[in-house]
Amino acid sequence: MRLPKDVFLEAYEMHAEAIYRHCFFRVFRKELAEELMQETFMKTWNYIASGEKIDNIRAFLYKVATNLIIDDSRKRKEESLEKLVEANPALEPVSTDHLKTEHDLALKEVIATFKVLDAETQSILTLRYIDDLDPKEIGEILGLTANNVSVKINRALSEVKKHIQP
Amino acid sequence: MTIIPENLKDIAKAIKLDSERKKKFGLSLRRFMEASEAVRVRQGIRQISQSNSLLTFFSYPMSIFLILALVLGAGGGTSFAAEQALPGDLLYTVKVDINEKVAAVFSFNAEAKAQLEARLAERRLEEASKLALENKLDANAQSELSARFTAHSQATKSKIKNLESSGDIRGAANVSSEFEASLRAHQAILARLNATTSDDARELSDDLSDAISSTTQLRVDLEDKISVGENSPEVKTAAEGRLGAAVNIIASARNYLQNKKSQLSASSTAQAEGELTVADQLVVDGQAKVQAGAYGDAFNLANAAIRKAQGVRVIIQAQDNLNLEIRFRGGDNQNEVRNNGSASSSIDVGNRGENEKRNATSSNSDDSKKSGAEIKVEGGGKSDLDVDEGGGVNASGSIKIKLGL
Repeated sequence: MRLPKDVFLEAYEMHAEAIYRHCFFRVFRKELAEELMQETFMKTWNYIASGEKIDNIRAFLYKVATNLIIDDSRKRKEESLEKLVEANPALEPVSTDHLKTEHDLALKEVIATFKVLDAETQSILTLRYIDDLDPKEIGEILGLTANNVSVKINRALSEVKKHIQP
Repeated sequence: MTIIPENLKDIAKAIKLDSERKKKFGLSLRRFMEASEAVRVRQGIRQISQSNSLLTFFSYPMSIFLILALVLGAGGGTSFAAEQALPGDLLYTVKVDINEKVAAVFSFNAEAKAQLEARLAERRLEEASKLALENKLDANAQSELSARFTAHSQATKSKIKNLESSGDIRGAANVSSEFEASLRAHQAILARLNATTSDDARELSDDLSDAISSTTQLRVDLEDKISVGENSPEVKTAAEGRLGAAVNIIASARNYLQNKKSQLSASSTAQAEGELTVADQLVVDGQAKVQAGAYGDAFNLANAAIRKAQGVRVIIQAQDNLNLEIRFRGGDNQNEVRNNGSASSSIDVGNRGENEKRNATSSNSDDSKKSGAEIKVEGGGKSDLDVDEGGGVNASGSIKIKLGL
């Protein structure tokens, strides 16, 4: 039987980057995304260490991260898109030699699009298209039914369409 | 752009978590886990602590970290951070002059004191390993570690002898046996890190070899006395208890091996399992001795089994820590290292297997670079350690360590 601690640390190895990436596509700041990722794992550990069982640790991690992001956004003012994208070197892809130029541009476009959406839309789209989770898993994370999630995804896509096709 | 680009997921992968930072956060996370565990223990202790039971609690050998947590509580941030310090770091003096001294104050009986000195000696070797891994085990560091190690190892022996003269010969045998196993395992680790071949490292290497010889001698002498000693019911109980402990320790080592299997090469795993099988047999032999009424011998066999299991555990643990580091370094080095067999005769080696190259095992990253790096350590038949390393962004490396006792 494996110790909770080992299972948890394995979950860190497996999911830290994905959680970080998710946070990044919500806040667009490297240090903040790192902090949120760390806090996600620490809160999750506290939960486990207090004796609670977690069936699906990946979903749990996303759930915690989502809530932390919500808490954080309440504390922050919106910064202008321009300032973020131009001034933040963290938005430069880390391994540029792995990306062709068009990917860089595509990334910037994605970020620009995401930035203007509301939080819930952003969250759903990130979970679906960046974290690559299916509606059932997303439902677990957000406390919704899979159907509900599909409806929201469609709405989110319409929302995006509105923004890119004025 | 189309509403959602088809390859958005791949585009998004450009946002990576740098592996150094991932590792760093991983370490912080572990520290956080330990600290919060300590706080929880402390809260639990508070409930039972107003009585003598606290004294009893501190009589068992405890991890230094736990002692600190209990003593310092929430305000101990610097002390906790210092636990990771290495010679050269600012916090190293906190670690050795404060933390370790605090731990000493809170070791209340002779056995706990002896265990603590052994642990401190072991910590110096762990520090040497970490420095060696970073190529920072220079003459200064090595000299300091050597001096401290020797002091602790001699203190350990002296405390073991005190234990014996105070009448607790089995306690003395236990401590010396565990210390011996730990020293041998660390010697293998340091050799694998090529930490013991340069001129700089000779002092530490010699001191370690000396410590192994004298501890082994001490252990053997104690066991001889136990073997010819009385076969009273008390000894029987002690033997059965120690055999029980051996079973648990072997199971725990096996469990640990199981968990870490994916990070080890097949031959490394096979080796470790072999050691544990030998340990199992020693336990069986010990149980036979109990049946035959030779309780002293049974007790000694239990310790032999524990030494095996302990050796496996220390090696895997080191590999776990080192592997973490190796993995995140990536495979950019081609190193061939010759070890001139500075290990003592206590480590036997079986036949050398051929090097196994491990491929990067991560499956989802297209952009991982697969470069192989090989580090070969060849010895004079004394301690042979093979290391294979697959480099790349998401690769995992492996260390094969051959160790026979």
